[in-house]
Amino acid sequence: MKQTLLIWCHYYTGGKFPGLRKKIENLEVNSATDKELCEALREGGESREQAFAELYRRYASRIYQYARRILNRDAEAEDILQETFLKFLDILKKDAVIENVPAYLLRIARNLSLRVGSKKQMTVPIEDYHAIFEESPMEADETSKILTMSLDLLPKEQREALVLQVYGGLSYIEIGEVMGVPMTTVRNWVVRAKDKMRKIVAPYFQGEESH
Amino acid sequence: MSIANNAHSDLIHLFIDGEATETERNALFGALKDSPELQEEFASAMQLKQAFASDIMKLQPPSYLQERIAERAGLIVAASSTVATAPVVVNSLSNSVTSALSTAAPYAATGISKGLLTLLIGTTVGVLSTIGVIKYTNSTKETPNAEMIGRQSAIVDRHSSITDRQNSETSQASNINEGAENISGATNNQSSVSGNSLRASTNNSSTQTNRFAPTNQITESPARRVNRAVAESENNLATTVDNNSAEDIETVNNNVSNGTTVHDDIALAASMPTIGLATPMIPEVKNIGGSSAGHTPLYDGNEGFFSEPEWMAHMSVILRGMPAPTSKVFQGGKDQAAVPPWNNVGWGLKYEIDPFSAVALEGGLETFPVYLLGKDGKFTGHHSIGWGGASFTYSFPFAEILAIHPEVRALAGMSSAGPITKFSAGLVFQPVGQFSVSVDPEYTALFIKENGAITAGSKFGLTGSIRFHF
Repeated sequence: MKQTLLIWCHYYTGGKFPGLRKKIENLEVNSATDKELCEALREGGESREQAFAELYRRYASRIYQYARRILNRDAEAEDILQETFLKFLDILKKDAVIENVPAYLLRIARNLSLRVGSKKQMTVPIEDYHAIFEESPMEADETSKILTMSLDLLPKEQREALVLQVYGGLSYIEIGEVMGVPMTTVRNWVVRAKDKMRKIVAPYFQGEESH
Repeated sequence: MSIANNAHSDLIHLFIDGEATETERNALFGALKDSPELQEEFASAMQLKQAFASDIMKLQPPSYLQERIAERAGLIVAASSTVATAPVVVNSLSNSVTSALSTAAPYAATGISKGLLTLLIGTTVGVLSTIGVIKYTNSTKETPNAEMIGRQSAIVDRHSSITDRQNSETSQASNINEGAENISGATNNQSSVSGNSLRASTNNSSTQTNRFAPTNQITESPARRVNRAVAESENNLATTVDNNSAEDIETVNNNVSNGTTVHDDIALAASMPTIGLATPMIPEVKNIGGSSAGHTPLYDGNEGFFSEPEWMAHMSVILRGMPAPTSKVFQGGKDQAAVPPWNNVGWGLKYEIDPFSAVALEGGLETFPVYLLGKDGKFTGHHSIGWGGASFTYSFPFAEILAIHPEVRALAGMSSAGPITKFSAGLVFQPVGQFSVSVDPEYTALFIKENGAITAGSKFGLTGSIRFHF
């Protein structure tokens, strides 16, 4: 219906609105699969720009959120996001066939994050968690502070699996493919991580409710 | 037991993540029923999920990153599109179109300021266009009743010569006050005259059988007498005349049949009496003849005459309404704002150029379900718009049957969401000249600016209108 309407408007106005023409093209992009978008990016031409915009719209926030929660730095998360997409576009040029685009993007982001994170200490002993809480000035929101704090208390693998599941939006199977471990292992990691986080954050949320 | 509880605790998270099998779900539900502790764990696990959801909403990448990545990748930079949650994706227009439309389509933040600005712009456009059309039509169309204007000129010429003659007789007047009684008598006589003939009233204004009464018996100015006679002749055009002068009667009758009774009566009256003491003040004759609206002109006389500007006779007020439901074809998507029951109300001021065409200033409030993409990447639903504009209507009076004739209308204007156009074609029922009703199928097209691009939508429905003529 939308496409019919836009096409009608386009011809009714004699094609004088280039925006309408682009809109019609965008309609096709919105409903395209990830594979089709990758094909468009690979082939080049005018549709490449639209295909990139659509892919960015679908997955950029996931990548940014993953990097942000793993590295706890805005600037580094932005760098990870940029590098992830640039690397992805480079890989597409090499005619790589990508079946699962979000998982592939997050794998790239994970690898880049690991490279950055290996330079820093990623875990903190539990007795120091109050200090970490005070040192998280970037989180203006109280909930975000609590979550960041509790994530930092998790073992590395559990934290990564949890962040991939919650912020990356991947299933257990996809997380297993990204991390290179069996799905059952991912399942255990995620469940353990969430249970631990639940126990850590429950007093804070109960305190909010009582107020 | 603790192992089982731990297992059930795990099931909670699997279930919330959507990764639990059917067997695991059933086991969890069974355990939840009998364990308050497990229920508390379930509640706190849901709280954690909500906290994650809240955190995800706040963590969004900066909008400039997309452009930066596209530039570095060698792609043409697309319009910045923040992550949107609605199906419409917008793209940029060429700069010229965007800038033109951005100046033409104000995009205010609040509904009130948006509506006021829209009405201002629409009214200004409508006023300017209407003035332009009126000026054009007045400069190009042939002055109506040119023949009448010519006769008026002849009458004025005759008045001038009469004035000269009467001035010469002024010196003969000696006793003006003595004529007051005669004037009173003349007035009484006039009221008894059934006819409207100026000639008759003028004759009876004198106690003399000779209508050319001595000047010293008349104190009423010729102008006042003429005006009074004109008023009488206006009211009784078809009544009998005094037959004192067959020739005069014939002249008057001819004038009545020619529709120039009033005007020529002035000439006749002025030519008859030798009573001009003072310089006659011939009333300035205006609006001779009828306009296309059938308006009967009145003189802009010296005393007590009502005067209506000609243009007002062409004016009418319109009230429109469109009840729901209407066919909604908008933005092509399935997600549309709900339509309240009352759909459309409008008003207008119309000026008839001629029996076929008219222009109008119109405005209205209209339900228009539309989602507008904001700069924050979120869509907000709008249920109604305010609009204003100018319209052109073309009627087909020659196709009238039983006081019903067709007409078509086109409107262009501005709305609180963007430029708007309307097209309607319907039937007008006009039982009397001052009132008409119409039913028109109406198509409305709205052009909306969303984050730098233009999208269009339309609505089709049935409009009813009432028109009151001045």
